[in-house]
Amino acid sequence: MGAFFALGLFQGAVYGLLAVGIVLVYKAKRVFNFAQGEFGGVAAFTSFALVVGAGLPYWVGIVGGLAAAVAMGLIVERVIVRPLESASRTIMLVALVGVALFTIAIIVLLGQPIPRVMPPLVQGTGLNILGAGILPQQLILLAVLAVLAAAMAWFFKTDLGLAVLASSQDTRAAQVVGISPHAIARLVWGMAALIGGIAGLLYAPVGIFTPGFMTLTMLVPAFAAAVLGGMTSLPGAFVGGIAIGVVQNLGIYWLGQQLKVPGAAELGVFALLMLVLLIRPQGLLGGAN
Amino acid sequence: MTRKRTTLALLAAALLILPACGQYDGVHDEFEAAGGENPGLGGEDATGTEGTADGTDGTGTTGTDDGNTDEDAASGGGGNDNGDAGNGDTTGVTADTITIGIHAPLTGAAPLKQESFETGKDLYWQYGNGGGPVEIHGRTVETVFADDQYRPSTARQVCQTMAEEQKAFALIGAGGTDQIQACAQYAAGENVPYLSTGVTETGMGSLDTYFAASMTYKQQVPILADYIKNELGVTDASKVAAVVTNTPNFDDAADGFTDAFDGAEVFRPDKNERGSSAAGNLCTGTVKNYDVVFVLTSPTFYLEMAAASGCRPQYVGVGVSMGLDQVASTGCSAASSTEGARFFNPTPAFADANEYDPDFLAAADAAGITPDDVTWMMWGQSKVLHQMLDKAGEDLDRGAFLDAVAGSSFSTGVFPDLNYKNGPFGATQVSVLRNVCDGGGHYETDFAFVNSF
Repeated sequence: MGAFFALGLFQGAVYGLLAVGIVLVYKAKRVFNFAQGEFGGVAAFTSFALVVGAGLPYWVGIVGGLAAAVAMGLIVERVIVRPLESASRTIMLVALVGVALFTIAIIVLLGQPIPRVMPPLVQGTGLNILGAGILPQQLILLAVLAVLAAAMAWFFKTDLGLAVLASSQDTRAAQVVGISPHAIARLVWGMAALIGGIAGLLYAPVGIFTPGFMTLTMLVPAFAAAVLGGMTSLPGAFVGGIAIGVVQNLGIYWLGQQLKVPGAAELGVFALLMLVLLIRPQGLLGGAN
Repeated sequence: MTRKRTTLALLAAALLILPACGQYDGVHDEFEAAGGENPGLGGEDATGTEGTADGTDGTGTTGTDDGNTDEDAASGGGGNDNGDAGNGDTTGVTADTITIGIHAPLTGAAPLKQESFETGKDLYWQYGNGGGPVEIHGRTVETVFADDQYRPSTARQVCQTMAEEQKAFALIGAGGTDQIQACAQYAAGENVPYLSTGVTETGMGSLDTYFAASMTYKQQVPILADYIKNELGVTDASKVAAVVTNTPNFDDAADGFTDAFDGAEVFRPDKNERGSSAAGNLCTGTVKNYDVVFVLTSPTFYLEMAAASGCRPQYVGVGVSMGLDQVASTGCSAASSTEGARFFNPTPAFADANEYDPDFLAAADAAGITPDDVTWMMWGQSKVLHQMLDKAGEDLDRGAFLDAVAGSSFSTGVFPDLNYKNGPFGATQVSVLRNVCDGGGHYETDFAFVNSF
């Protein structure tokens, strides 16, 4: 059981990283960003092309991958989000789902839908943590998640962070005091894409990756993590991600393997979400409003 | 008001029925003379020149154009389970061509290379006759292809499209158990011949139009158990585990494995679980809990599980997509996590193709393509189909084809020897491939065409 707990902890770190990006966009723009996973997908594939395909140094792959993710974030903001700013939230949501699917299609076209392996940032054999073999890459992932969640929480206490919050609450009023909504939007989407890119780059070397790997397998648990954490709380996204990962894997062990319940992972997550939202509707670390 | 509606309904019904009752004599004959046909009703010409409803003429009569058919292959069977010989359904057959539909997953959890399919689907038919096109009783073969996206619902849909809109005479499933099952069931409902590599037997044995071109999982599992005991030397069931995706289509394989290895631990992860979670069962830290792990999952699940495992047990398995070099090379890229894995496969390894059929590489040369294991697999499956079509005779229709194949034997030297005397699961051999990580990762042949260990 300890092994499943440990595996869940590190799997939850990926959910948490994606959830931090989702919460950032939601907190700043009140938009459910279904394209968040593909920021990671674009970063991973770009980095793979540079490091494995072109044989460039690893740091070039990281910089290139993150640059591609940020570029995608800025393009999405300019081409999709800004023109739809006054549209309903449903239209925006569908448009962002479309962005994710379109991106996956492009990656499939360019890179073939075959599984790939990205070399890890740090080589090394697995460490025995509670009976699970944990790679150094996974330890880095967890550490980065903690640092990013803390940094983002701190960011919203800075002048720039407050400007983002002001813009999200009343764009017109923010403009009156000299805050440019377009600059804020670029900043938010660029930061979200950067966080998504980091998640993709750190997660790709842990196992194998295929086009759509972040959206198809990671995005739904990440949304659950964001909701669990309170949707507007960045530390909440961190805690939510870890909780979802752990409950998913313990569900597999207890419900799936011991009690032979089908759909154990989803059942565990669903039960956790229901329980938390019944007891604390604003989420684990969400505000009272 | 009600009476008025009833009267109107009766009148409408009468209007529909009366014209049918009042058809003049000879109208149907004139319709047929003008080239019309009604396969649903049959008729005087609804018998083929080969094969009869009781199967008495189910013997093979011809060899193949490329000389690959040995005497054994031409030996006939006596079975005709279908009873619809020469049913007049010539969909996809013209004087010059036969159209075949192929489906495979190009996207999804078991993705196969698109270029390999694009080049491989026609390689045998266009270049299999000494560098020229294969002819079967004066006809060449054309293929249509569809991506089933590793989804059963999509597989059924694309099979319907290929059979009904693109007029495929027969359908071929290249991989993916649930997809093959979905398409096979559609094909049986429409009386379309369907050939695939062997997968599950669940819901397939009663399908009149289905033929497995390699051993099913259920057939392979007892041989695999003997392989583990006699070749790998592991007889202690507590040192053996099975990771089998929790789908009813794998129940027969899982049950067969526990029958052979009583006491072996069986893990049944759900389809949407991640392979990395299953890794928690296989090792304690870097120490392996089992010496041998039987894997029957999607390739991506297997690769994730192997990559995330802190230890390196001996992976073994059955199937088709697990034996693809893409799986071997990906596993090798992930810290050689799959090195040494052994999988049963319909064909010997692509690396050894020249040893088993030199015509394959010659055809690839003639076509100017770079062959790979997917084209090799399709080459073998095409050879099987060639022999089947050849046996169905010149007056080809779906009934004649089904009649000719049921109860007959075929031998290609690429796929296992086939004998459909006892039903659709006619394969009798497997090949064993070993994952080698030297030179980028690929499979090599440990055993070719064996039926026991």
